[in-house]
Amino acid sequence: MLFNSFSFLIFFPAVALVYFILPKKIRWVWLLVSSYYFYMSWNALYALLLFSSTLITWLAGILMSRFTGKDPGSLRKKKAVIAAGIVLNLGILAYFKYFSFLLNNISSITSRFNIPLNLPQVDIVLPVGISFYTFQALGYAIDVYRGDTPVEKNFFRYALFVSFFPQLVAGPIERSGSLLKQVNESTSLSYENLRRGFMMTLCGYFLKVVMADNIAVVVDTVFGEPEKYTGAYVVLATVLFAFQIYGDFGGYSLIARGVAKMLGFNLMGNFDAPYMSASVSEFWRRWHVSLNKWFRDYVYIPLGGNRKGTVRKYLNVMAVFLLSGLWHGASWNFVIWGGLNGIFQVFEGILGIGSKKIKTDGQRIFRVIVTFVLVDFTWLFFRAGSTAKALSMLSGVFTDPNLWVLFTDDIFTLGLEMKPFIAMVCAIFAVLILDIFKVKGMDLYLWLERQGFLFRLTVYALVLGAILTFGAWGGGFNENTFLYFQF
Amino acid sequence: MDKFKKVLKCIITVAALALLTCFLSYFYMSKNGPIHRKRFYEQKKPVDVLFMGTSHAYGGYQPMELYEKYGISAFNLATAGERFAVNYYSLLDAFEYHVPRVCVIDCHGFEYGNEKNDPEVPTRCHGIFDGMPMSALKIRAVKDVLSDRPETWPEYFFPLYYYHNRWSELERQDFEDPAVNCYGKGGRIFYGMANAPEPELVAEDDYVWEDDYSTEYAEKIVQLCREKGVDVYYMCIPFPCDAKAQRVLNRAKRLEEKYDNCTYINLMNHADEIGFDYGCCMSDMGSHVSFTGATRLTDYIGEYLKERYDFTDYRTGADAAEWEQEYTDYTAYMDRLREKCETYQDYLDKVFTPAYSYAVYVSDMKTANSDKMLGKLIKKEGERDLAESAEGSYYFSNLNGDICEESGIEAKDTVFGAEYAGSYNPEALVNIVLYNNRTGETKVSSWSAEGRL
Repeated sequence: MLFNSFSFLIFFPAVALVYFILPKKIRWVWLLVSSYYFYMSWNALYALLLFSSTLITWLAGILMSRFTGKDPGSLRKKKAVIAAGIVLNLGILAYFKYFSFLLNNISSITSRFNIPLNLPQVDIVLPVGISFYTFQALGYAIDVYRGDTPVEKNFFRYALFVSFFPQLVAGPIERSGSLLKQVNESTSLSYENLRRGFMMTLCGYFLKVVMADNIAVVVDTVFGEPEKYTGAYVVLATVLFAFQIYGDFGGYSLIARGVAKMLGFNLMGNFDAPYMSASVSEFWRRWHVSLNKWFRDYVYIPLGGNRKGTVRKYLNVMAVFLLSGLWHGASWNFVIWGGLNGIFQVFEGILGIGSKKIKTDGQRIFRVIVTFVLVDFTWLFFRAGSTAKALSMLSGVFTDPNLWVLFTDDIFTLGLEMKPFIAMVCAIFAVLILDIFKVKGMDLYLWLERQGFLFRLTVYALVLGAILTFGAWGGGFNENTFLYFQF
Repeated sequence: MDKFKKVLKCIITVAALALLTCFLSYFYMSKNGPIHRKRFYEQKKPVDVLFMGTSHAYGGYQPMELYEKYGISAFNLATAGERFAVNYYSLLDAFEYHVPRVCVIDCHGFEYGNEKNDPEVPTRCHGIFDGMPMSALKIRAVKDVLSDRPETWPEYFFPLYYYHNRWSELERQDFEDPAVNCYGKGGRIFYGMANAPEPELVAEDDYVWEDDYSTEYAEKIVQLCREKGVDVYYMCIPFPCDAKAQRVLNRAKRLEEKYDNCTYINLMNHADEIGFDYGCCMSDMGSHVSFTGATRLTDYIGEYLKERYDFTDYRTGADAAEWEQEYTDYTAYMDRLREKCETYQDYLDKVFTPAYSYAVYVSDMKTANSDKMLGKLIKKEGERDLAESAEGSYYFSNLNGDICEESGIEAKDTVFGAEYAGSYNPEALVNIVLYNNRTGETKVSSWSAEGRL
């Protein structure tokens, strides 16, 4: 059940209505049932995986809570439990996500050395959202191990923490310290929450169906036929893809936060005007914040972070970003994408770019543009689907730079006619302008909340009107799956 | 108080946004289908003859012409590409408002055979379903006709779901009152006159029956009409087709053999009686009948039905005033349609009805009639041969039934010299004066071989 599907528009109001009608004590039970129903709407069997991941990490937490002593025996047992929890939990993820990748690579290497090896061809369907809930559950287990969070004794409450439907399939990857705490406190119906949540949801839908899904038409056309579309088309499509993935994932995160907010839950912000970043390091503090914090806390810092010298720090950065690439997809192009992002940050560190103070607006604009170019370059590898395809498209940019197509009507033959194309460009500019306000420190939601009711209503109507009119939805469209669902 | 205000704000927000959604839904939807149906629902006087079927039917039967000539109250509910299954539900819905004595159904539905899964089906269904009000019947119809495509169901109950993409295709008429484009009681008009080849004729009882999705519903239609006491006439409207296609269309013959309330007429086999000439009665690249063809078919059906049924004449008595108003609106509507014509053949196609007097002056008949279409168009109207044989200048007029035809005549010796000298264009290949017999309004148009001057 996608957020931009008809069924979700029925599902959510029904869930919210019943949630607030029920006595506070049992509301969380209703949310748990609804969350499993939400997840099972993709495939009922997937619920078994979700349940397994939940059970493993919950049991790990319970077992670890029994070894509270500081003696080496207790510590050893605790370590054994967390290690088992991590291995089992990651094992499920590894099997579903990386097993085929591993076999293909082994097969590729052995064939290069003419070693006959008949490995089975496996075609494993990746269960939706598995990377997200696996990490969320792992985060809890590690937090319990470290003593950062108390153990949750009620399995079902913990199950709700792992399966909470607004953020179940594509994040934000929540921490036990925040969401589990909220699960244990019953929430109340509040006008302020409804208002803020509704605004977030509306903005999320705008990002997804007006910006991302319209851009997707052009991007899919170019990336679908790379031999036909070369040079400037590739540049245009890659630039547009940067906004597509932002609208898609940022839109999803906003809807998730909005929906949760209406139910009284606060989820962490996942995107903070990423394309306004003045360095790649800053970009990664603003892009997919919940995942990067996860990697920082559970990989980068345990590896030593920046505490063990500059070289080690850079190695840790590279390790994190290569892992992040692999997390995004079991394919080498994702590893290269992650690696490039890591390399850029290492270079920034060596050149001291991240630490230099920006003195003028002009300097900032220049750096924002350079950062966008670097990040967008990496998106080419992300979107292309394979390294070979990405390299071939990249070489086409230089060998056939047919720049003139950007100034002709040819760009209106990429799936969007002139008017929808203009609408798409307007949507991008609208989002960029709002992001500029954001980096200037303006809280747009707060600002809107301070305006009069009629003004606010007019804004709602304009945004909804834009979504209904310019959005890619309804008959003739397949509800475009959110890009991050595949991860 | 504060709580009350908050609740009120929530209610107002939800109501305003729902209202906006409804407005956009109405604004973006194509109004053609719904407005015709709405007119049908709102018609106060009974509908004695109901036409149904595909685009062949909505272009082929003109209820207002039937009304004017025979006083028969008729309505045309046909829509493009309509399958018999949709016909069936359309009829079920129509019977809630009017139960006619005769239902004339176009046979082209047989051509769709077993095409239940044709990707065109969901699009075509909009023609009927968009205009049907929300009801248990509509839900049943959508679920049945589109049983294999549940993903399309929301389109028919929430039109914005389907139509919101129209924002980039909106035209001036989308901002006008849709009613002004709907005065033909469902009859619609095609443009682009075409010389079409004559079809190979096949006897009506020469058919190949097949039990398929189309024949199932064609039969259900007859059964439904029998329950309601309605006579069904399956009619095959002329169009260029081969013998194989006609044997499919002739399937209706089997229904005639099986049911006493069903009659089948293949109008292609009656072209001579009808005066249907494929050289001047087809348009839309030869695929559908022109207005001239439609008036001739309608005339034939009117004559045929008048002989068999004792219909009330709605042109007289208490209904006369209503009739006059409807006809005035219709001719004004026809005037607007004629303004869209790009050739004199197209224009004249929509002139030759008893509603008008007219005079046509052609300066060079050899050029103007090079495709023989003009001659054929005029010949039937005037029952004269001169139109087809003339090569130089040619004049033809029909002033309230008083027909005049001459060749080799100077314009000054015609109505163009006497009354319309100021409007007459000596450079034009064809000049046409059109006089509305009821309103007295006159229009003069001048044409070259390329188009309107």
